[in-house]
Amino acid sequence: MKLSVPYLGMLHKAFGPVLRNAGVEIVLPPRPTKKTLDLGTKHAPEFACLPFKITLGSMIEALELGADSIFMPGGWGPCRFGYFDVIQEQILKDLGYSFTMGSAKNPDDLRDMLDMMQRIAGLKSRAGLYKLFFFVLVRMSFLDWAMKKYFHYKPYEAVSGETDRIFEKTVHLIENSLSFPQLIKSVSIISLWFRRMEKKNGAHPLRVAMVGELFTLLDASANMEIDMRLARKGIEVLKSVWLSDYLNDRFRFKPFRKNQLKLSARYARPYLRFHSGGESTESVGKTILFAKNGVDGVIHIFPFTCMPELVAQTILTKVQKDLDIPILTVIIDEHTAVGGVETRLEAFIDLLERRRRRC
Amino acid sequence: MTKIGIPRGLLFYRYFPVWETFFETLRIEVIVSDPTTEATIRQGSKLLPSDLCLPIKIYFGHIESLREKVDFLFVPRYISIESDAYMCPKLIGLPDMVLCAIESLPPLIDLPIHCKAHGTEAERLFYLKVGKIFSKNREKVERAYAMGMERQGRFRTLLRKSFSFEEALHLSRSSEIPEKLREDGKVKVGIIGRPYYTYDPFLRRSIVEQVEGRGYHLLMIEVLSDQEIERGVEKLRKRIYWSFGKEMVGSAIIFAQERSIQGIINLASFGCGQDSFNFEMIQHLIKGRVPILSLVFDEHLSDVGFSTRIEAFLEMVDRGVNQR
Repeated sequence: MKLSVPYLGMLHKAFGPVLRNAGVEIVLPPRPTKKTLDLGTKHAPEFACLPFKITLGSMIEALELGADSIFMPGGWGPCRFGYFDVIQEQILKDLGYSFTMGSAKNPDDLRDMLDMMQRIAGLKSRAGLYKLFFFVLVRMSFLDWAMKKYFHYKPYEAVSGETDRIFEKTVHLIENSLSFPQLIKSVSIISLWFRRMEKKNGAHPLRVAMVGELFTLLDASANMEIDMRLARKGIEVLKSVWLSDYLNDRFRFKPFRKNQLKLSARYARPYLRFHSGGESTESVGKTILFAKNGVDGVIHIFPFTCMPELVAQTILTKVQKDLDIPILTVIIDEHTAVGGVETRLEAFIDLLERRRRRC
Repeated sequence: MTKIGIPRGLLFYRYFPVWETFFETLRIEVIVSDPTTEATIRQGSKLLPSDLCLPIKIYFGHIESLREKVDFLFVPRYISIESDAYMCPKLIGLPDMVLCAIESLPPLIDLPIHCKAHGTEAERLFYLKVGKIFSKNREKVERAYAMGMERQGRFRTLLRKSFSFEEALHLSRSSEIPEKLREDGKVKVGIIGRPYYTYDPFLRRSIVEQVEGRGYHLLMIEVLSDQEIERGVEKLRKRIYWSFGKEMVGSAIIFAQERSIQGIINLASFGCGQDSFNFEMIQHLIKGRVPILSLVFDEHLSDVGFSTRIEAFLEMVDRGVNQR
């Protein structure tokens, strides 16, 4: 069994070393690039969304490297993500690849998911798998935590590039912590690193929240690294959805934390009274929450033709007026170019700075 | 008399008979917006972000033209109409989008129908709740609902007999169901799409004129019964969890396998997320068996562009017929 899992933010860093340690052979294709996207676009339906095209391209690259099973859990609507597995399997098999598609019968049920994982990973012990799964989730939470720390401290760094160095070390350390005690130890070391970092005095950075669709929000191949660009400009970045929260909400696994979807739903209520799939509720709810917490601006980012986020976009135009919060909508497809995004970002930041001076 | 406005768009083309009879029985005046025109599309486009699909824009155009004439607007939230399938996310969020995009609206009737969560009773409960807004007499509401559903049933039967939408609307008022002249001998072409494309006279106009004008018999999805559609999709690896998606894929399969259809026309709107997947499946499943033409609508409709493509497609259909 040679298992491959499409990229989604830092997910591969959370499960890769752990599964390898458990004896599963993992094939990691190169990080998605423009070439990956072109490959996916070539074979995908025209109006399929960007995440579909990138993961499809990534799957082809993995299959070329010799993977024979692919993990793509699917879902149960109403967003298209739930049907990715079927369409992608169909396209890949039409292209002549033979492999097993790891899709769960009922993807929202943890037991079904684990059944499927056991099958495609070739793991014998079920108890061991539970432990593994839980461990991966906890690792994911800490990776997200480290990323949040990075975004929090980056605008205050005194020595340019210091935060990036620490973050790199951090990810490396978490990646190589293969047991709970080790992980806990690493985390305490990491928080020390961040705390001891030399910080500027009197910095008062702009705060920008990014909301939108999960994949474009988290994966650098899909969002033109908007988050990093903002951070490098000395802006504090907040995000509406983190992968660990998403997994936690989805499997109701509750490793010591709040259900973010419910939290968002509460704030979104005056505008969006029913969750319309994907991350629409989080986009609306968290925008309101962030606005109330005083962020300077919001960037709403999602792939072209994304159905749930289009609902959110329509609603956010009203939220924007009511709460007087600037929102920049960035819609990404295979033709989006870095230059165009950069220009819009700069204009948006100018606007935010001017607003702040005025206040 | 209280006036309720029903925009002529989206699920109007599926559920209007039950809505109309239900409200009329409760002695509420039903006001439907005028048929779609270019002005409707223009008005809708002005209200919404540009990436939303054409049917939603048309719907908003209709609301805009209705809102000053009525006391209530009927914009129900259809979340799911089956126990294991959803509607499109845009339909789920529809009332919220309406409230956010249009100002100074009359009160909205936007109660939800959610069969996936509330079981088969969801539809009945929905109408009881709607009825409660207008009448305290529960029996009267129940009767209105029963009458509405009866008419809806007749309407579906008429559509199954291949009557047009307008004919079916009119004929379903009486309890007798006439027979339609059978169109034997004509070459059959199936048209696959959501009811709000395939029945909107403005959108279907150029296609129907051309296909029927040249002597082909045009079949809508609605000529198939639910059982037939179920039979069409039963072999799929995973059930399609969109009701309209399931209908479209199922009917394409049945059309190709059992109804001796010689060609299929797919209608979709630009950037429709679901149809990108549904039509990929249709193409995969019936590839090589019948010619398929995919037409994509957007707000810059042009009949000329369609007509050349339809003509080429019909020629391909003819060639297939002659070979057999």
